[in-house]
Amino acid sequence: MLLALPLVYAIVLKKKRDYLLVTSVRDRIGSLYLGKKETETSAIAFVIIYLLRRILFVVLAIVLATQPHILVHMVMLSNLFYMMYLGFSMPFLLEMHWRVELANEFLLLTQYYYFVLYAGLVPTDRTTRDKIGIAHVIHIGVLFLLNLVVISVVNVTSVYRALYLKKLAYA
Amino acid sequence: MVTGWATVQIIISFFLAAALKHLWSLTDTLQFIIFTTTYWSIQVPAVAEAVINMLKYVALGEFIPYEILTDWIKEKFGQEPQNQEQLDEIENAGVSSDIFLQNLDSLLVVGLVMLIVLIFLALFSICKNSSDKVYKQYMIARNKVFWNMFIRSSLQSYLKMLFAVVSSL
Repeated sequence: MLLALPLVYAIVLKKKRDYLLVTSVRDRIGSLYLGKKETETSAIAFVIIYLLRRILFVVLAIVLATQPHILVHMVMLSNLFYMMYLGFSMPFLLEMHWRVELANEFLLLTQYYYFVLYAGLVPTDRTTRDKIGIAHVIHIGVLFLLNLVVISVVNVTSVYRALYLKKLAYA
Repeated sequence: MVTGWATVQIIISFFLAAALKHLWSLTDTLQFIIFTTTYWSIQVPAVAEAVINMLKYVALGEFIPYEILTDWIKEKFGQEPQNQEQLDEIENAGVSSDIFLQNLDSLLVVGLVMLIVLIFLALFSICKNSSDKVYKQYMIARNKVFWNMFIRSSLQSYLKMLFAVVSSL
């Protein structure tokens, strides 16, 4: 049933393709495409690609469970294809969202180089491994902080805007 | 401290909704890192592992108290591992149990909340014809629940559910 979900969503989107901008459709299935360019098929297909990527991730983790170094390279490759899709289709309505998503994917892709080292492809002693671990933590920190700063800025801006509009309404 | 700040931002985002898409984007990315270190047979240094375990609170919603439900499921349906080999097998799989429901962790609470919302909606539907105003409010609530609530939760929990199914096989 879980594996059929991308197909179900694809059928729903195909069926409602011409009515995506209608309020009643948006209210019901908006989560499938809101924030994306509703007029472009490649942008609407975002949710399908999103799910298929996860299925691929799990399938690779099962099939290549005993060969982690091949697994990590396959996942990196799938990540690269996803970044290509993001770059070509630019599916998000807001450019900032697109930039943050690309930055996240880039930082995730570079994280996989640590996993190459952890998979034992490059032999390392304990001290070196600990140093790699610290570098990895800094890398995760950059990803985390970048997103938290964006979330905080958007939240503060939204509150500020609401207060400003209220002030205007009273005036 | 950082995870505390993140949790506060997440809760604020749910109320303000302006930064929700960025929040989903962050959790999606973090989920890949977490599931990589959990399910792949790689040796992560202790310092990185500790930080990634902290990130689980944010990315998998583990700040939601779910232990009451998982403990109850374990008590009702679970079987204690027969020997050390079985216990090691479960631990190596990176899951808490071989029961699908128990592996869902915080998703169980989300499912329970959705069930309560559905019951509330069913009760609301009984009195929907009492006035135009009530009917209008009912329709707004119904549109919000069907299907957006299910779609959003299925998208955000898809990776976790896939791994929960695979682990219980």
